[in-house]
Amino acid sequence: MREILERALNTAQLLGAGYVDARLVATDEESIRTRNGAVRAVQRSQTTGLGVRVLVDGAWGFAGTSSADLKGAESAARSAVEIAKASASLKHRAVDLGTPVVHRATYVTPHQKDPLSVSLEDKVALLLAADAAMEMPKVAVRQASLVSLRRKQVFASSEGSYIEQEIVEAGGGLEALAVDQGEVQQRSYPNSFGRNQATAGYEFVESMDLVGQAPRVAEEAVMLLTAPLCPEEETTVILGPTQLALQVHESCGHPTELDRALGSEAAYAGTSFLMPDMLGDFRYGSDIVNLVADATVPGGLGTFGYDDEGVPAQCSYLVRDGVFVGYLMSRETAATLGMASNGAMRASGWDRIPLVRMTNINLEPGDWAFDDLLADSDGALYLEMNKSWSIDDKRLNFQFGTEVAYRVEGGRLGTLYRNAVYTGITPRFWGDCDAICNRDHWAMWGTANCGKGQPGQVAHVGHGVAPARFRRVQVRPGT
Amino acid sequence: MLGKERARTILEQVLALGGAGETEALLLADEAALTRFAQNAIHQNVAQQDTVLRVRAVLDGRVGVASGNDLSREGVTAVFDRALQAARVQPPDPQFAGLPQPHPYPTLPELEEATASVTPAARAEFVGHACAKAEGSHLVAAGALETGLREVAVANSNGVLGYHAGSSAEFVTVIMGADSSGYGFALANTLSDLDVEAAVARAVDKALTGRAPQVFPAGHYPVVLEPDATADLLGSMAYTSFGALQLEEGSSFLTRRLGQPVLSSAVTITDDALNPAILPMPFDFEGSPKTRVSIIDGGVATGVVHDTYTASRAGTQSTGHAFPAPNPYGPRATHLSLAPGTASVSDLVASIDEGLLITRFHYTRVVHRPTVTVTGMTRDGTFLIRDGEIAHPVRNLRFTQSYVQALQDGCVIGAEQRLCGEYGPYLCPAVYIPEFHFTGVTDF
Repeated sequence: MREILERALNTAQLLGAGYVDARLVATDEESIRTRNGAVRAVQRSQTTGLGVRVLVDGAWGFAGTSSADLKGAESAARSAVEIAKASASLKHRAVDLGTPVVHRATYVTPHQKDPLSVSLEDKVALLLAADAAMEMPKVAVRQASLVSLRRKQVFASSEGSYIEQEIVEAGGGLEALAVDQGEVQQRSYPNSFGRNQATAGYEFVESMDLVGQAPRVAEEAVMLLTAPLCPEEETTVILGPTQLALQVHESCGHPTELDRALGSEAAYAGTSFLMPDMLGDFRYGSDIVNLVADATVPGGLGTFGYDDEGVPAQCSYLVRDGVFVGYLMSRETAATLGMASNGAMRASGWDRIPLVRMTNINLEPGDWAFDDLLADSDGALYLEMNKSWSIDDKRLNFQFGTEVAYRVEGGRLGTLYRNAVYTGITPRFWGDCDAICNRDHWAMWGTANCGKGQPGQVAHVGHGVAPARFRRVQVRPGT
Repeated sequence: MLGKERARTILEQVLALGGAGETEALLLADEAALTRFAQNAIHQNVAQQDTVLRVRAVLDGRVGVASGNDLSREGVTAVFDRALQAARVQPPDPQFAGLPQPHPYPTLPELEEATASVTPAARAEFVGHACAKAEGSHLVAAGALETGLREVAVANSNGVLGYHAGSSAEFVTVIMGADSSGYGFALANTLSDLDVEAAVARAVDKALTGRAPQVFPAGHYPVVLEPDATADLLGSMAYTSFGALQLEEGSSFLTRRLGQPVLSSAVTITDDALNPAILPMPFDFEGSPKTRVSIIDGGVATGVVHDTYTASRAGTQSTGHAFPAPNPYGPRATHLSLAPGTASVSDLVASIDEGLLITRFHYTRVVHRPTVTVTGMTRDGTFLIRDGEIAHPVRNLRFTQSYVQALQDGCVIGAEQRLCGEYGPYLCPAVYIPEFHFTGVTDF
């Protein structure tokens, strides 16, 4: 393995590269999905490849190949150099990576049970049992799924880094779709988009109690069919944990990606309202809002040892006491601000260049017990579990829909409404956050479908949150 | 490039392995290169090649799938063994009706090698042209130029054997001023057919005419959607409603309405992957021949797309819209076309007293499936129409709108189709919609 990586580094340097890094990545992923009592997908995917990134005349080139051998390494390095020379023909300034970064290290995700070693029979039986437990009239579609993943990655750079990592992930979830008389409603568990996922072993799946939760999920989907439409009003809202994780993802995670702020994503996902000249001054939220990028938190789906430039995982503030204080950064983008990378450069695989990505973007806990928050919020709406999400190209104007909305009545969750959406402008919304639950209610949620870049990449990121309250939120029915 | 003979050798190697009742082998080989630019300079420039073998093994109605990119004899055997193992551990699926039978495939044009082998320097030249045009107008360009070659080869133990190689070239740009932006997109089978110049010209024009946008209040207004915005209507309908699985499960707006009028009589929607001009495919990912499918004809719901799994339950034939197995989401329409009407865009604009011209939408998501109610933002050029003329640009608005309702009575279809690409190669004209629901403004 080392020989292959060194061949890539040496070939590129001999052809004129001033900097080279190479990643050899082997991914083993198993996914199982049941649908309406049948196994609809049992898939095992094993892929290996090599990605070589070079700087020639201060411009980038990258080539990825599935031929992860000496010949492939040499070929990819040559291709990357040729591409970089073309980049150099249309550049504004030479790329500056800042101070060299050199690490020799290994990292393995802490886990108890290797998810890929648990028998397929046991996993299929678990999902079929959960599927059966969701069966009831008006539930047209029952789905259950599990994902197990192991990614072995070796990173080497011409600066002298050599880092071996083994990332282990496990995830699972349920979805029930109820249909009746032209109405369609869904409930999910434990997270939206099909599952919750973590850097962890199979013990994470076992902790979900999928079979035990399944009847409730199906019953709630059916209840939603005849629930009243969410009324239109400006009101106080409490966001449940998974919806708040999505809110953090879209309205804090993406706009604090420094490459977006610098225009790199302008033609695709867009830019950011958080510009560098706002650092340290701009009021992003209320005083109690503290947001960090933390790639070290145990179990987070964005937890690792080193990013894909060899920078160690770390925790840094993005918003402190409500003020915008930091970005997610790569070596190149950090250098443009005279700063050092905070380890947020990640690639989805060997065939993609690393981009500035979220790690775990976490809202730090406050000091409220959840029951106390409900008791203090009579008439508010409790919104939970994302159903639809849309935000503009600067990450300002958002509208999110949730699977459920409950009126807080007498300190408890009361009337259930369907088709709730809420909308707002990011800094105004966070500015109206006046209560965050304490660490007892704080948990990590995995987002395994974060898309970015051209060609497209899907990143696995995490969000730690506890339920929080927001004032003056516009809520309406989404139909 | 893998090549037809090498592909056939690998597929036959898989089919020769024993143990499964039925076996399907699918090879997907991709060579792609993409030059990305921002701030009028190249900032990302990449190429990658990969070939993935995907095997579907069937044992008495039990279906297992495995994939891998090690194409050595041992690697191929390992993929087959994993698929077989996956099949063994599950109960039979009584609804699985078997792998497709062989059928003749339509003939498509041969691959143009020139697009497959385009150099980084050639891509940089195209990009340089776009950036120079932007700079010449004191604007900033961002975007990407991608060229690619894809080979699809599929075989199964029933005798299906297909190979197709196709190239593509795609250009997208957003060109920006201080408070405005414009969008340009071009897609073609080959780089030589790619009209980058027209795409850049459209984007520059919008960025210049969109300067100094004014806030316009949310409300219900008539709109003219330009083709890239129209494509969003088709994409969301395809996602929620044009597949047989959504029809069967009851979440499609076409459920129990086939044969009935569901949209304006001006609306005719067809899926046609055999149109040689727009990234054609002779067969789908399980080797069924592609067919042209009428989905809406003069406003009447006429059909949905099928794979063999949904077709067997519906008592019909696959239309050739299977995705690679395992695919729990069902077949999808990928090459949609909204038939043109007779009105020019200026005719459509002239018919509005007060309304909006929309260049395209951004980050749209379905809020409510049965009505295909979607929320999203306008982007890259939104203009107020007053007294039949463009009055001035306005700031982006949020909308929440049933796309089914939008294409019902009163909509008028434009005469000129354009190839749009965000959801797939769609052919779309501009559309006039008498009432569109805008639910928010951005005044921050």
